[in-house]
Amino acid sequence: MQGLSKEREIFARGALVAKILEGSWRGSPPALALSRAALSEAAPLLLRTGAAGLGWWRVRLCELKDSEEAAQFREAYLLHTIQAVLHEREIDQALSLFRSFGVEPLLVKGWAVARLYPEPGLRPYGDVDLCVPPEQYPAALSALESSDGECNFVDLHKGSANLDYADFDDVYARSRLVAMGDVSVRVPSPEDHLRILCMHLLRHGAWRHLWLCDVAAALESRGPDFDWEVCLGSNSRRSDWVACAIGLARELLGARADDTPAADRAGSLPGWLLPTVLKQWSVPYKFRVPVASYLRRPSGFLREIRHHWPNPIEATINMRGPFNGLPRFPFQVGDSLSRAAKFLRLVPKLMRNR
Amino acid sequence: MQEKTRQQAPHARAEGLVSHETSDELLVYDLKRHKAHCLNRSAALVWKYCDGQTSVKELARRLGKEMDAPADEEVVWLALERLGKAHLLRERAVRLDGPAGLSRREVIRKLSMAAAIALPAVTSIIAPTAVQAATCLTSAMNMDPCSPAQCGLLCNSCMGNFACGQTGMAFTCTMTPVSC
Repeated sequence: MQGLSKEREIFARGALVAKILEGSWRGSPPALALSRAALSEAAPLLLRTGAAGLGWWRVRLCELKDSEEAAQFREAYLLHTIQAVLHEREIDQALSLFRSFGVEPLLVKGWAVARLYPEPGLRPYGDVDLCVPPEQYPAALSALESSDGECNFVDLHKGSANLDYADFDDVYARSRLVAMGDVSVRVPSPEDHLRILCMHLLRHGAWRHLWLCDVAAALESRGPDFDWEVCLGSNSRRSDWVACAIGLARELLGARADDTPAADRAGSLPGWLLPTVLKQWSVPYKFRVPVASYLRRPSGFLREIRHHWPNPIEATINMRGPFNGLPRFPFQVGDSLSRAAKFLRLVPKLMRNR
Repeated sequence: MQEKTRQQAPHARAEGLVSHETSDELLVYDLKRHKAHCLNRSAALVWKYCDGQTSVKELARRLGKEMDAPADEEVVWLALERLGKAHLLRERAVRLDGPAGLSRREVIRKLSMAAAIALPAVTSIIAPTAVQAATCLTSAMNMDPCSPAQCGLLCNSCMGNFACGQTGMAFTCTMTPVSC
């Protein structure tokens, strides 16, 4: 990357990550032509974000398969593979618990998307996101309380308001049972899940490479009866968000989207969108320490607060703005002020809990 | 004599382990120590046959048959040593009649030149911790999203002052302030 301006260097590194992940969710990914130096540069970023398994999936087929970086990728892939077995046990445990309380949860993201990849070690996940119908939520909470911390890995959602914009009753009605070994797991329909994955990617500013691979994997695994109207919904602004996420998967990772309603949008993404993702992908993710922690220990607050500045994607989504060509700065300011106001409203409660 | 027989018929540990077979390796996760191991084919075969009844000699015969090549007892002993170090045996196999005058390194060198099969390998899997999902139990408080990995980091280093629920490898930020 010598000789490039710093800005171009950043984008080049993000593009390098995208190149390695291109088609990596497929059983037979495309051949990868990459220099050792390029692999060395991208490897820490892939390892850090859990995309190393996908890195291995591609590198294992090229001449760099015996490199040190490939060995690291493979090690991560093996670890993710055995972790997937453990997670399936956890999911079984959680579902048994909830069902014994008369709760039928809907599993989103995590295993529900990992199953779309050709190998379990390619898509690691940590927690288990379970959405329950609002009327079942109290029973679900009781179930979790009764587990005495044994199901701490569950991230319980009342409906899907934090994950999706569609009506949860409809999402739940369209959900289906799929087999995980001997266990039946309720997952969203392919249409709903693709939308949920797109929204999840955008809401978090697309910082994690895997999330865009998830969109690509869900997109390419859809069946011939996939209903785009159900997936995109009737709200034009929101359906445009989803179309843009699909467009990102096509432009950056080579996802096959030509025969979709999102194809046109993929070719006309707003100018700020691709650079935002490439920039995000070119640097290690910086943890955002919750601002509340500085109530106790204010030193370092000013240094930390810089990392809370939202990127244009998350700011636009949080402000429910359109993905158009206008500058994103107003959305970023608006989102920051909105979050600050929410936090200030919480301060008295946090102070009482100190 | 009874003691000798017991030690010569090693027993694989079963409790607290989760295993998964891939095309050419066996992955084992130790739930007690939270460690993952990768066994190559010869180590996996030796481990599979360690039932507390089968002698080292018989293990070598079975290994040779499965691998379709002659297997020396030394190879089995090497596997047992490595499996024992990884805590995958009920108790470490103790050799009562080791090769006189040879160090462990010399034995391995000799074996790697002479053995017709790949030497048993048991490797611990140490991969960098990836940043996991970006959701945590913060939505109820409308605060910035954090991640389970972040929760782990914060709580382990006592920077965030929040209690962290952990089961196995999963972290959950409880967002309950705690004193360190």
